[in-house]
Amino acid sequence: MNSNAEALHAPQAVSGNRWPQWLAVLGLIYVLICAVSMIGSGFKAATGGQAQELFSFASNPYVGLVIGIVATALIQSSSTVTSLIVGMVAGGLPVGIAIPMIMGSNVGTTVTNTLVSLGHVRDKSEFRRAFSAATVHDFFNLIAVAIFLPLEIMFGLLEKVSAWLATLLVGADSYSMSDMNFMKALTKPFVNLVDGATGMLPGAMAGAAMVVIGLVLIFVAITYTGKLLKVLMVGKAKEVLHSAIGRGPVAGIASGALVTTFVQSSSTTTSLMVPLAGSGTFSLRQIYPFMLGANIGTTVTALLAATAVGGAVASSALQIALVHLMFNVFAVVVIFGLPFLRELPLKGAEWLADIAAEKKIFAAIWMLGVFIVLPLLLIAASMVF
Amino acid sequence: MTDLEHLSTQELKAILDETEQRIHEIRAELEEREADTQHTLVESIELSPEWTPVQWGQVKAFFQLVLDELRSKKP
Repeated sequence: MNSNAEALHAPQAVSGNRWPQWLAVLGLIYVLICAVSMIGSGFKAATGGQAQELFSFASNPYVGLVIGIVATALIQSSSTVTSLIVGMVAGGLPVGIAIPMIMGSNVGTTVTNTLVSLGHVRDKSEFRRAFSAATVHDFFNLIAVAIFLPLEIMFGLLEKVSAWLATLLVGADSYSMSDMNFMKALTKPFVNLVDGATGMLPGAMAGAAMVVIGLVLIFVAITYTGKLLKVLMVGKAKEVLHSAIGRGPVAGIASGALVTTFVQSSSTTTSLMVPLAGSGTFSLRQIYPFMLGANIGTTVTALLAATAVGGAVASSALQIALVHLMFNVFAVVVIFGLPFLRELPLKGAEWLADIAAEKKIFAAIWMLGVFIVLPLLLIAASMVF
Repeated sequence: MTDLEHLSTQELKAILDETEQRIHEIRAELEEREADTQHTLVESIELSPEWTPVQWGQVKAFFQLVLDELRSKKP
């Protein structure tokens, strides 16, 4: 153990002067925050304050869920999608419509580590272990949606709790902190610059252009922040992983959350775990809590994005970011906390990996089923009912 | 198999205690070895800015294998 602890310091000792990279990270976070603010303004301008009517097709929660799944699976970045959703809420999209989208993004993000596990297909045992490690995340997130989406539809659980918490943190409109919003003052010059440039376009086109620019900037900021943080934080991430070894599931959840916060990407952290499981060095039970922690750690990006929003909608933007956090925390507490539910993702992943290792077609069916057929079925069902 | 019936109760208890202690030590040793292997693997993690989780060539190879598997089943 000591030799490992000593080895941890090696990468840090040779890290050298990294302040230019840290400055770049700060700059990219600034761009992210500005981009979210742009999406809010652009979305408001493009919809003419009629976002609710425009998104009435997504008022069916299953459609919202599908939008979240498909958008995240395509972009392979839940951080980008949730930041976009925060911006859209700031632009007038009702929180109630956005909540299923947030849940969908949680499911969509698991496509990345499932794709990673396919790379282990040459060795049957290795593939069984890697595929079970990836799909335990799929099963957990699907069960979380199966529990919390009906609760949301029936009681508005997350909407109510997050509204209460957001009001507590930001304050109600009557006594809001909008007048002294430091972030807004900071982002205003950049946002106004883009606003001026897009303002030359006619009518709603200007708002739409601002949304597109905001989306591109979010994607670029998150991609490059991830690239820089991978290098800057790999030492710290290893340190956290070392400290969690042999310490049980709570340490596993905490390490998953911390490492994901460090690298700002749950896809990165969960994808790193798949080969570790595939090699047989880490068991499925040891990997499972880490995946749940990654779900929690990735919510930091949306919270960061919410700081971009000031004024009357600040509370709504923070609310949807809190929904992302609470959904994942509640899911861990309920599913991992209750022994009979805790075993379900493990049993499901082991069963699926066993049959997929024997016949690869089952792995393909799972991939296509969860990320393509299931969303299409949900849309079809929502059109019928 | 053994001459357990010839041993006294005290001797049996002593053997049992010793065996339990040994099992405990073996478990601890195995756990330590597992942890050491895990530490080594974690230490070997390399992350560069160019690192991307999904290798699309491998995904393509997987679906090629699935197709081969399906074709081989056909009469």
